[in-house]
Amino acid sequence: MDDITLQPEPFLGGYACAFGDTILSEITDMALISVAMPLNGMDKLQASVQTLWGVVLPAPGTCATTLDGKTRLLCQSPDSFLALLSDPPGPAMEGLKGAGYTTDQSDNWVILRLSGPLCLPALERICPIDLNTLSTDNFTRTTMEHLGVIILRQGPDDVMLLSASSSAGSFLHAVETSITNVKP
Amino acid sequence: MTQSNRIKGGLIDRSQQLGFTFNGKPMQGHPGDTLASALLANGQRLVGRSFKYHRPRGIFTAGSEEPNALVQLRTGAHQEPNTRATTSELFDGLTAISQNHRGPLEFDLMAVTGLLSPFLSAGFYYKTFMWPKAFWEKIYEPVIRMSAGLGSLSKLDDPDIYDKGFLHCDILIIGAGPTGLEAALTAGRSGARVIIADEDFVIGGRLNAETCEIADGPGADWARHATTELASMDNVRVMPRTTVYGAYDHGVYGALERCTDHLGDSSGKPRQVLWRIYAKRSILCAGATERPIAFGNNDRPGVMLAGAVRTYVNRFGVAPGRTVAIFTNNDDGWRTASDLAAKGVDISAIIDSRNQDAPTQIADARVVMGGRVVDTSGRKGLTSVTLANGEKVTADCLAVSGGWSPNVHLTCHQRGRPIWRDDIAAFVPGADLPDGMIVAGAANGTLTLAAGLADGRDKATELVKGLGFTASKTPAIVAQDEPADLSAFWHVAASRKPAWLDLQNDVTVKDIKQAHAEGFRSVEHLKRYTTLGMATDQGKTANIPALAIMADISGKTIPETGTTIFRPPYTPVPIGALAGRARGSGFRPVRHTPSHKWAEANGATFVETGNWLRAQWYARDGEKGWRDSVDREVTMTRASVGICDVTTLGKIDIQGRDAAEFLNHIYTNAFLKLPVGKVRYGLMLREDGVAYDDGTTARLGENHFVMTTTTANAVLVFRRMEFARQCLWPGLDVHMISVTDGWAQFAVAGPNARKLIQKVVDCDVSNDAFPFMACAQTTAFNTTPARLFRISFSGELAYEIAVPARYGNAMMGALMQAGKEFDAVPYGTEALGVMRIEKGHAAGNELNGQTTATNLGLGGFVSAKKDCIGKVLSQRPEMMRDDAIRLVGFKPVDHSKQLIAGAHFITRGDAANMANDQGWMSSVTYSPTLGHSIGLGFIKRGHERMGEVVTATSPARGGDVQVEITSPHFYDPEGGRQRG
Amino acid sequence: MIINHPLLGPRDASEFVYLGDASLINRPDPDAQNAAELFHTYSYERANPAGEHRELWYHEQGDRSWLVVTRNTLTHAITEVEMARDVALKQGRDR
Repeated sequence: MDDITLQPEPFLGGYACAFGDTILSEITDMALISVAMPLNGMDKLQASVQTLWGVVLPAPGTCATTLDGKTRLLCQSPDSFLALLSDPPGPAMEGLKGAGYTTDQSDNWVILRLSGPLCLPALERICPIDLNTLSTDNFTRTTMEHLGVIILRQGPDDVMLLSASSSAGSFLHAVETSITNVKP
Repeated sequence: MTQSNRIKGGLIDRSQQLGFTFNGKPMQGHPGDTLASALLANGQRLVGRSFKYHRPRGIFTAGSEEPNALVQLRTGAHQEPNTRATTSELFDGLTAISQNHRGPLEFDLMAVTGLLSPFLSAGFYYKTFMWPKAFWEKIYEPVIRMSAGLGSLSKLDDPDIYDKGFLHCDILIIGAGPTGLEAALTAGRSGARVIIADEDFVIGGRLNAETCEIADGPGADWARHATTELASMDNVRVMPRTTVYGAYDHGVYGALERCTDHLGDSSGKPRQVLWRIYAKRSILCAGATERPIAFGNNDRPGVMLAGAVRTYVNRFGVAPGRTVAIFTNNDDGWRTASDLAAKGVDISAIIDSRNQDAPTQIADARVVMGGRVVDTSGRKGLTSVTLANGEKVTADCLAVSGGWSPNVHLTCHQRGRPIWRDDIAAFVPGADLPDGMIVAGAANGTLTLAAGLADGRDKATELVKGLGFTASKTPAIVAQDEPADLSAFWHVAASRKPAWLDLQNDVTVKDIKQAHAEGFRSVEHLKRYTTLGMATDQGKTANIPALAIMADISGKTIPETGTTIFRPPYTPVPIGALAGRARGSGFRPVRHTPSHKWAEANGATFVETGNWLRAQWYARDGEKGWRDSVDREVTMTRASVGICDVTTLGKIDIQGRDAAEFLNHIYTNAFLKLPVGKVRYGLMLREDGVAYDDGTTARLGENHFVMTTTTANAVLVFRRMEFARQCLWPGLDVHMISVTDGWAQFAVAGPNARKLIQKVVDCDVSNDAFPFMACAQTTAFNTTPARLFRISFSGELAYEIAVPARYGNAMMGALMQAGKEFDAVPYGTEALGVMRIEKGHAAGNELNGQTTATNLGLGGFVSAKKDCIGKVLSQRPEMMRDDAIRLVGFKPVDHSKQLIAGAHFITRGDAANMANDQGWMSSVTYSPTLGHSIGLGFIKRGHERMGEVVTATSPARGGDVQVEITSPHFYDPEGGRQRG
Repeated sequence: MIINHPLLGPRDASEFVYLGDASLINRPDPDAQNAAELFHTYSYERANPAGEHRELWYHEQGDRSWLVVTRNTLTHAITEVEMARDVALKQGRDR
């Protein structure tokens, strides 16, 4: 075998840019796994999630965050969840074995963080969702400029935006353009 | 030029001068002016020529309903035709030119068309189209194109940028006149989320144009205070320069905000923003539009709506004339007289069509009750008006008021129909309003001030309560209702001269009569026959008088005659705003393959495949064209080894206890018994039995599969499988998630593929340990997780290896490095296509939505032992007949000939017609392996006709080629290479 | 249009993909004597009412639920939105 070690490259090269006090940056140190609930498997999955993260399975469209704030569990539909992890996905996938069907999704998504005073005005240009109704620590899923996006609100002016990794460049362009267009 | 008509007062900032030009002539105005008010201040009455007859025209209104004063604004690429001078805010350096004339505006060479007016009347276009045909292209069309029309386009790319956006509110208030402001204050104070939008750049609507009082002060001051209070509320968004142009389903509204149109330069910011507003409720407070009275030569510059005259006098400090006459059928016209008198403007006469006492006294003004204006004089601007008794009254401005029509437009965008109210002689909103909308104030026929304020307050209170807010208890404000008596009067019948209705499209009373005489009596016919209301102003000032006249002629009432349907947009929306950012490369998202950077650095030419950009071929120095590169890539792959990024194929991760059973429903062939560690080709049908998609599915674990789909159908197949899972077999335990973007996948193909792959992975890939159609989860280059599949699209010994997408770029480089000793070559989609045709694999050209499994020669893949989507209907006799078309190969008898995709097959010697058609060529390529052109195609009973020569004919693309029917598997038909 | 998703609340129609008549849930029994006839009707014959219509929408840019939306095709008024899976289960569909 050749003596080569492959190095991962962030989808946006670890992009970070300040627009005044507003900051847009690529998050490269988080992992994502999807967790599907087996048919009639609510109790078993709940038990595993409780053991693993100490949270109750969230209802569709809502999010549960662990006490240490390191893991968020997003309920995407009645039987599927997305776990956003600050740690590598291996242990979580191992911990859910037999209770949920897991898939490592880390490479399917690019993650942007947008924070600062232009956060909401910029999103107003691309996001059809009423962010007024999206409270901190909650998420929703919608489209922006034809791209599917998960929005996770981390604070009044602080969101995480997840979109497909193959179109990361177009997505970044959409968000950057919005900021530029609303920047005074 | 001095501002000769500037008078005292108004909401303009006289401390600043703004310079602008009209037809090159320098002029001055002030901040707060519109182009129209500045032109009038500078004494410029003639501003354009009419559409058909090139009649001199002036400024007719002071708002967005303007039919006449359309100008070409700005220059170069920024040039914008058909801009209403009445809504264009003046800025320093503005340049405007008049439209629709040849030669100077004052001496339009086309004005002679006026003499041809008998030939240009109603139905002109229809009649002219009819006869004689030969004249149309050569004579009529060029002449009409030259003479008729509006401004011209720059024909350059629009240099401005546009944006879109989304807003949400509890209550959207459309229009910020007295009613809208009072409604917004009421709703805002209750805590509801409010958006109040107005097309004007100064909030207040008619309050800025009238001398009325609210709370014992000028109405304009009250509007300013109200705006300040609203702006201070966090829950209220005040949007001036914003037109709500359409009411759509379920409380969705379209609005256009003009962000930088009032500036000399947009400084790189969006010029306009097209908003989609989601409103739980809305209050339409769009006000009313004044309408004219039709009389002879009523289109001369200087003839103006009475309310507009007040706007110019009160809001802009401009006298539209030195000697003004007034022609009215209502009390409102008299307010014009009192306002003009207060500013010291000379009033020559007040002509009131009503036979009653004068409602008020205006000092020094002559009053003619029961009067009529029958004609006007003045070649390029009004000099006098003629009364019914022949008497001429001097006037350089005639203020006309025929009453006010509520702006019901948005109430009708969901097919609502307005209803007629005799007391105000106007249509008001009907009962069938768009979801969540109510109407208040003048838009609802409540035309007076105090009543309008109260209506706004009451309706807002009702709405906020309905939404669960507590209405504020602020006391009602003090205001007076103005006199508003009116007696319907539309048209001076005694006029002998043409009387205009639609000023922009040059439609006269005579045209209405002619339409009636020729049988075009329904309003919808009237509109199309005369072009009434079809101009950029959509007949805002013209439609109601025209309807009234049609009603009169046909002996019907106005409500019986009805209105045409109002459709969005309320006022024009630039195409640029509708496009927003979706221009050029911003038209749609681009998807990059994981090895895109590597491909870019290594000379790839890219091709769009859906949203994907894929490497099409990799050119090397000395190669003269794409064929050289592609032939080399194929030859080197078949000789040693080639590498291709195949990430774009759809990848679906499927898990669950019933995953295998689920796949049995989806695919025609059986998957229940596919062993773990194996891959199987699968075919999908549509429920009607036609072939849909194909790909391979690997079993990674007992309950874990990964499916590939074609690139084009990745999204569609996933959607369909979710439908099957949720709606058809909801009792199965199966889950899917797309992993297309998650894995970078590479085909490694060629006789040296095994040697290369063995350098990459740590599992045994010998033919015994890892035979054809095997799969495994392994690692690449020691540490990177990888999936390995032994599948082949090229017909070679081949593998596909997948690593997490972030490693994809490095993986491509590493594979090439590892392959160096074998002279490994990267190949693109063209070489991929060549090799799949050589191998005889069906692709999109063959799975075209018309072909069955039998046609494709894949009948054996439809399992007889189980059901699947499409199974039952695929077994219909017609779908399986023996003489049906079959997928076979074709090669030219003369190897030097090139085959043509899309050619149809006919028996040699037969005529090339539909009756003799036997099938078609679906894919062709030059085969560098065989040294001649080859093709795949469908021909009747093809599988029984090997060796037969037929004619492939392509009349459209030239020539017949004699082709021999062969097996579709041109290359290694026994499959020894891929299995070896 | 706005579709009031049973779990996620009001959502813009642009997040959804339209399929058609909700009768597509009622896939016939492939083993029935007259299966070909039943499937023919299922695949090709649909009512196209001017008025109330039960139709399938897919929340592709959301939770990927298939929904049965009862919508008036004349007014676009939506009177009911159900999870299609629940409808299918209620109608006895299983595996």
